[in-house]
Amino acid sequence: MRSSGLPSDEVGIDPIFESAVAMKIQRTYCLLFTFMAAVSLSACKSRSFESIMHPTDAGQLGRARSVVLAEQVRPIDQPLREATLAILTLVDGLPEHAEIPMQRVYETLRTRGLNANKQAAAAVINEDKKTWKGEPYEQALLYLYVAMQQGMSGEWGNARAASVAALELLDEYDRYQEVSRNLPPTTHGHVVSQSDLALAHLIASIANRAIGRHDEADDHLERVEQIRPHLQPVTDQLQQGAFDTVLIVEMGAGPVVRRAGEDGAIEDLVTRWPSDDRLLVVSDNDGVVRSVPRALDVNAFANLYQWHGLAGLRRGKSNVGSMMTVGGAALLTADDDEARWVGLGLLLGGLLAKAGAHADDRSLTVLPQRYFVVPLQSSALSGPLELRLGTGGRGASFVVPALASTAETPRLIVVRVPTQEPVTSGLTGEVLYSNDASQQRSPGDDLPYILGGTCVMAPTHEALRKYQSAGNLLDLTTADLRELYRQEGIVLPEDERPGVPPGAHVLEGGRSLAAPVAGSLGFVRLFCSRHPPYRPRSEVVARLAHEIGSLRTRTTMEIEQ
Amino acid sequence: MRLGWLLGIMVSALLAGCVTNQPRSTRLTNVDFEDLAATIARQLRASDVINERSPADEIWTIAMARVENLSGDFIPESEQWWLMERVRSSLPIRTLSEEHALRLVIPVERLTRLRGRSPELEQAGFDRTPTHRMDATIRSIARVGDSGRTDFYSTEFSLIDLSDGEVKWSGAGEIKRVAFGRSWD
Repeated sequence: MRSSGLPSDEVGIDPIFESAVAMKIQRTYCLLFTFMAAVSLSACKSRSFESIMHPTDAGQLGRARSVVLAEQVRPIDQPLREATLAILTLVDGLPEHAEIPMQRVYETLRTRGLNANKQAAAAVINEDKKTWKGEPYEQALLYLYVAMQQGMSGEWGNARAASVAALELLDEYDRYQEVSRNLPPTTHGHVVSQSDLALAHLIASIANRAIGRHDEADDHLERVEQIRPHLQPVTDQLQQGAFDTVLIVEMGAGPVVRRAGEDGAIEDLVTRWPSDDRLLVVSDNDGVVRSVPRALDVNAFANLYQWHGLAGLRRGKSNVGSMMTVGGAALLTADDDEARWVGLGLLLGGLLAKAGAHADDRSLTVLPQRYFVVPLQSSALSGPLELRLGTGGRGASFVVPALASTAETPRLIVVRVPTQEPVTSGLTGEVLYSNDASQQRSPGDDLPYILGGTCVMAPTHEALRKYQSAGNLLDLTTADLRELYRQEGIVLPEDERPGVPPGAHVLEGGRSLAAPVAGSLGFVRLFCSRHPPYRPRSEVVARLAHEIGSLRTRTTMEIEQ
Repeated sequence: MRLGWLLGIMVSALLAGCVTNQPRSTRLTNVDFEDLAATIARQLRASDVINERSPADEIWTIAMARVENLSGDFIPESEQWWLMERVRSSLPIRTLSEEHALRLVIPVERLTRLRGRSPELEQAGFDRTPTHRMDATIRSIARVGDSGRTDFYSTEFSLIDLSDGEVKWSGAGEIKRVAFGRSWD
């Protein structure tokens, strides 16, 4: 009748009571097993957005964005999702579409002690129960992405605020870590930050100059000269104001956190792209425009600004768990039933502690390894720009199509150079698809892409006028043209939700017509490389495209005869 | 029994942090903007520059610009416009027009967008010609301590005569925001 191994029968306990106690104990241990299994499973959960690393490295940011948009995440991972989406959208050249996720990122960053209420849960269960906010280095860079996004949108007051917020964050963290640099005050007293994040000072300087605060702009440059004298070629040009365009060039793949050591208790910062001091050489048709030193090495920065708040606790949990497991296993072999139960308890407790000892390895996988700030005078440029690191090669060269001069000064463009080659190979900077982001025409743009042409402008009156002036679509009105796009399920610009990242572009098999900013990776990938012909989804567009195609073939044959 | 105690302690530990209710952000909120707009509108209504004007005076056409953000907070463009809208909507527009010869017109940025919407609107606002401009600037200073951060926001409004640049009126409002906790946590 004994249902448990407890030594209770010698004292003559009521069998019903004994059975109830045994069942209770069984239930408790079942619960414990389930809890442990759940913790272990959560520990084995795949890292968020791991699948976007390859498309991101290959520069396929539209595809990466679609994956992130479709992926379901836990609420505590939502800030990581927003941050990933915001960066992917911005560096793809769509600053306006990055607005909403960027605002959410900013809100998260500005919330102090976001996880203050979860410290106990993080200590007892596991660190990845905390809402993701990123390491201090990721937070500082996210502030800078907010600044870049606002700068690209012409909102320089906000760009200034966000870049200064990055400096304030690092100052506070430095004080906590008792790091002191004893830098002298700047000439006009505007910069009190002691931070050596030169990229933030440079962006703050550009932003201040854009809103007419020249003294503050100069103070930030003065700080850069104090902390990074090798950046003088950049600071000199910014100080002279001899620029209307600033490229922020991103190269390489940033470091990521991986678990290491027993039970994965150690946060290991893994370098994916090595650091070096090579200059970025910028050339146009007339030769080298300038050579620019690196503004930030993310590998080094991340090493300095990782917060190991619970590292000691994790190692302690792992060690205690190991001891409990060994002790428990030894007791399981004992002859005494009670000792065996204690052994089982220790074993389970030990396994539980070990399962909860792993490090939080969520990290922002879309960061680059290095940043360059390149001020340019667009009117002085001739043809496309080649960006090359050292002798070039995989991930170290890129061609930016010719930049038209701009009325909005300064114009900020973030240029992400893919670490793998597919996007950049064979590029000449020639625009192959007419679009809403540039005035350049392309061969075959007298018809929309969805009808066999090379024009991916939105179906506006202006676009239709272009098609009709070439003798095409003469019997269509603008409303008819727009209806064709709607039949295809293509999202028209006015139907887009403002500030929300779009999915893949029509040229990549998606439904968006959003045109990335000229010079950006998105612009180059979409409009400067060949894509397969459009495959209509609706019968009406398929029929029209077929009719136009047949007509063109007939006309060509007649001309040849 | 002992296991029960252990579980109890663990649950208590998990819940321990959930009781704190301290503010966590020094960002400006909608309520701050509403209070600020009400303050500025009150100051403007009570000002001599408004009250001394009569219907017989030359009409002042005031274009309201959006707020210039020089603070440490990121204020989206929509909120920069929204603050000015709140000020405008807090003013008795008909009374201003009929009794004080003041009229408020949309800013040039909005007019440009309106004109771009359709060919019919290309002539919109041709008689707008502002004589004055209402500007606003938000500034802030921050103090960071071991336990948190305090931000003092100051917003200045000014009414400027576009013919000679004279400041006809100015008003201001202040907001203080405190937040606790570490910025990176």
